[in-house]
Amino acid sequence: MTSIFEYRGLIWNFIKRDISQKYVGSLLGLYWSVINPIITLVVYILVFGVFLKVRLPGDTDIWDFALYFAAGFLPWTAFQDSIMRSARSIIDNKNYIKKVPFPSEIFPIYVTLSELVNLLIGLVIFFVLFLILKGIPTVFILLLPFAIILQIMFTLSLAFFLSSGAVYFRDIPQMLTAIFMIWFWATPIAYTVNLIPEGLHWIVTLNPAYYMLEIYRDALFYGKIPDMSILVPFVVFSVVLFIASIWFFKKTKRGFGELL
Amino acid sequence: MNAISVRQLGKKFKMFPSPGGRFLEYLSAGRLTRHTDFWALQDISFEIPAGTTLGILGQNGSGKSTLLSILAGVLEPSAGSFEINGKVSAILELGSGFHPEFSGRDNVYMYGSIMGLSKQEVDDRFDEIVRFSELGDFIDQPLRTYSSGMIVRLAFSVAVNVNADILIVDEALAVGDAIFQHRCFRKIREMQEAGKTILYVGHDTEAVRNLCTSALLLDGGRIIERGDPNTVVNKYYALIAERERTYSEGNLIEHGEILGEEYETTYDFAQHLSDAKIVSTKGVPINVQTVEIQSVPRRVIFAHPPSKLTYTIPVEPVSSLAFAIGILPAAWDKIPQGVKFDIDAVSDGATEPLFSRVLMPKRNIGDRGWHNFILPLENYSGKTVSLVFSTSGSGDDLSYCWSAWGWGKIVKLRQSANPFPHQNVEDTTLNTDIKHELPELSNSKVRIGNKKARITKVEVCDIDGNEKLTFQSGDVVKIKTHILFNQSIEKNLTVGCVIKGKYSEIFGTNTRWEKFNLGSKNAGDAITVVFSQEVKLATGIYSVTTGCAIVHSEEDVEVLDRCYDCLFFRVTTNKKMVGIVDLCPTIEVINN
Repeated sequence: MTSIFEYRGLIWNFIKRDISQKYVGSLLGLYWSVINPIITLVVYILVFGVFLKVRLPGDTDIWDFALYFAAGFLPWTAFQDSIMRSARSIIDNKNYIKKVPFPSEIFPIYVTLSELVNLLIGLVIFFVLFLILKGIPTVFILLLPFAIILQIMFTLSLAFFLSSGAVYFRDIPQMLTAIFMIWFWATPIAYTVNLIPEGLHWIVTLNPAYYMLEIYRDALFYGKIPDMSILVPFVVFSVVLFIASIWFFKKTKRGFGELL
Repeated sequence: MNAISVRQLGKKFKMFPSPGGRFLEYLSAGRLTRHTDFWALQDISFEIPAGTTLGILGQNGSGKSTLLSILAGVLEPSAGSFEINGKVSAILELGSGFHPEFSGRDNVYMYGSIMGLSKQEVDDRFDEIVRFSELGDFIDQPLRTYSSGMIVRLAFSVAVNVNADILIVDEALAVGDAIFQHRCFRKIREMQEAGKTILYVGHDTEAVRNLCTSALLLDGGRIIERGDPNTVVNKYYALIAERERTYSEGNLIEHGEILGEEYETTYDFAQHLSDAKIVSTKGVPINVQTVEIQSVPRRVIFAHPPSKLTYTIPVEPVSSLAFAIGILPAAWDKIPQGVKFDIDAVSDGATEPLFSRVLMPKRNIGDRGWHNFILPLENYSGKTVSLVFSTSGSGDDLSYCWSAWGWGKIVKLRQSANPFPHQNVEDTTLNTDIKHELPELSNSKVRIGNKKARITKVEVCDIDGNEKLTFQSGDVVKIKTHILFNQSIEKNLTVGCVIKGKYSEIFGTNTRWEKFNLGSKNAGDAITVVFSQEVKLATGIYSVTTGCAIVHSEEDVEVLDRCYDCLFFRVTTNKKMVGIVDLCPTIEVINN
């Protein structure tokens, strides 16, 4: 962790370069990272809200479902994108790691941080939607930074595990596409948790992404302090996972020079 | 105090037959073994006292890069330990650790921060780095726009300017131009004088001789020689010579009758490969490649077994089929059962076996190399015949089996066979001692010409006319070219001779430019032309190219026979100098 502080200048350099390559270089890049999530949102709301008539429990308003969906879906997309990219970050940058004693941990870190831009774009889309449909958000919006920090920690943990694991097992990035597809549908995002049959509820309680998205939805949509049964387990889990991932990365990075 | 000390260092790589093998081992937590071990380094121990320079020599694959990677902290050693006292700055490979999308400036700061310099410290050195690299305004361009020379200039400037105690330099330096290399070496000397420790790794024996306090020779992952640079460099040369010798023995021998000049080619199979009907079941392409035998490139048709090549051609009277068969050395161990080569002739609906032979190079040493054959085709004279060349084999992994049909031809005896005895320039004059150092030269022993006259022998002699191949700088060297005329030459006969050094031609001239008239010659005449000159040259090996031609004009040269690099001689001198020619200066001092 000390190295993150030591190399903050380097990380910042990489982030700047990454963002300018993606957004500043081409106007279209920024355009698509706004248009794409909006199109996806509209399609899902049409299919689930209009055709399948999914509603929140005790609520018949389709717009409430739309906001509920957006509050979970937008953070999820950012989460998924940054994991997919950071899983490749070590193998994609092998030229450095093979030749000089490069602090390889900065690669998953900078990818995760620079993908935060996507999260911010998503949140802006959400607030525009919220302003139109509901007006000014409640004070509980102040919980948002907290949710973001938790998400960064969770994302970084997975990024450390997967980017380093991918060096040892090159198929990891390819496997992630399928894994995220399953994970997305196993998580209450496009539907609510009460639609899950009783016998399968344990799946949701074991799903860290559910906890993470609940905190987002409390801050963004419900406007309430998250349940302690959601908050405490997820904070503990994130911290433990984060420490474990750093340990794992430190342990496995010794083999990078040889395996890349 | 030692700047670097290395004790019994070893590095083992695990070689997996397939990527799945590695995964299987992880899954079984080591209970299943799929890998074989490969020791890239073994039992490496040395010390570099602070303030000295160590050179490490070794061929490709000797373990130099692995050793450097371990010292630089990229690879973990599998055995032993090492200790480094002081900050290391390394120039490993071209622009490694640089990001192609970042500007030169960003990369300098990036490298600085990897080296543990603060922004302020890089700021202080930045101007000097740019000045030394001579990049000027390019420093703000992305690195991908740089030439390889610019990258290495920047890399070197940064590496020598980060104020490290230990500098590791590898052969990446060779990329820079001569001026920059010169400046690098001067900078390295400055650093030596400033008491820095330097580790130089590469192939450049001159750099090792000039820069290093001591040297090591790595081979096969072990230290096989250590001591003063001169001893180590000599051992390195001996090693190369030995390698070259075993390589030649393995690949370049020919068996059987070699076609003489009395034959002429009427059909070349390699040239007409596109006309052949090809059957290859393995999906491996059958193609023509060039193989160097005794340094002479020759065309062979690679045919991985099982394969079948069918040529349908008319056979002229008194034709013979000439060809060779061989298996490349890399495949010897892979095919213990060998490869069977068959040739069948199909004419008038009847198939008749012409040739069948199995080569088992792994078992029989005699089967290694290339085997020449000449088969008479008189039974087929005047007919159209389908010749079927097939290879078959039962080795474990035939994908490794590079079996080939060499220089297959239909040949005819010439009407007027050469009445003169066949003499080979190559056989008569090469001194075996010098042959060992041939890799130093870009040796392309090639012979061209229409053979109206033949060079029968070339000799290098001392001033008394005795054959000799080593000289002191300044000695007179006589180059004798013996020529036999197959046809009469009226006029403009010219004989020339060129001396080449390692990198360039040193001197060449001919009888025409020297205003020496050779007159006219009749068929059957034999002459010897002697060029005598003082070789005021630097220590090294030089080659001789001689030739004779009819020079109708400077632009219209009819080459009769020309032998490139047909022999080599050595010049030694005790005098210290740089460059290739000793201009024998006189020095005077005028005090004003």
